[in-house]
Amino acid sequence: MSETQFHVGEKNVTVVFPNETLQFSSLDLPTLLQLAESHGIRDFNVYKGNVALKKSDFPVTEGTLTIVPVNKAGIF
Amino acid sequence: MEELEELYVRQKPLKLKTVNKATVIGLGGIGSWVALDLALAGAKTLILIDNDRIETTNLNRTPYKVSQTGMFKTQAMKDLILERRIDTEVITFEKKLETLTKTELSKLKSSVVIDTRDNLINLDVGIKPDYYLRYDGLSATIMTELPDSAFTSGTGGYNTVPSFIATPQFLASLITAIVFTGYEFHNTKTFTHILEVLS
Repeated sequence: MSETQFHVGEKNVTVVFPNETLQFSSLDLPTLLQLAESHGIRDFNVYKGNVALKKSDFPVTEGTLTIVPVNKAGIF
Repeated sequence: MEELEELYVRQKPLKLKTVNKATVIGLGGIGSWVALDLALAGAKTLILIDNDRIETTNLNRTPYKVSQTGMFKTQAMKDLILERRIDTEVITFEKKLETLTKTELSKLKSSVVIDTRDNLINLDVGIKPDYYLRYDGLSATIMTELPDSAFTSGTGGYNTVPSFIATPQFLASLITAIVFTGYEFHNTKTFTHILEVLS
């Protein structure tokens, strides 16, 4: 098995919600927003390590993303 | 209009700015007070944008009257303003900001634009608000840029949270002071609790 074949379908993106951790091969913005809504989270920030991601950072193909809800005032 | 001249006699020594035109996007808890405060302070033209109607549950934190329940918030605010400042020009749009036509959006030009919508979605409609005001319970934020790192899921529809009159009034007072004094504010200021100002 070649290395390329080995990586097909591999779930390199881990998304940590407050109550659940999910894994994906890649994560685009619409999917992220749908996931947040399904978790009852409306406003939130996304961190990869200590870095807050921007919309332009999507799609994400690797790493661990942590979803941090914020309130309507944009405050944690 | 001698009475109207007299109306601002005690405000004149403060040498405040003349506010010719201001736009308030969203006329909920924050926007209703912002619009009324700006009008009372002497803004000459106000542009009010909101597609929503007044519900009973809005009345705990807004200046709307019980008798105005069911009215468009824009129309109700226009009435409240004109009861107090008959010479104020009030232009209303009973629609969402993102559905305004180019001609309608052009009316916002040269105005101080204050965005008090309910979510953190940055709308690209060709008009950049000067200030964004948001609150949640006793938390409040005033900012001149929406954070790129804030996401809002789904359609960004209304999200019911605890609300209380003091917080939106606090923000309305701040923005009215900023606009009328010309205070240079290009930042984000968050109050996890509005009474932090006392500490």
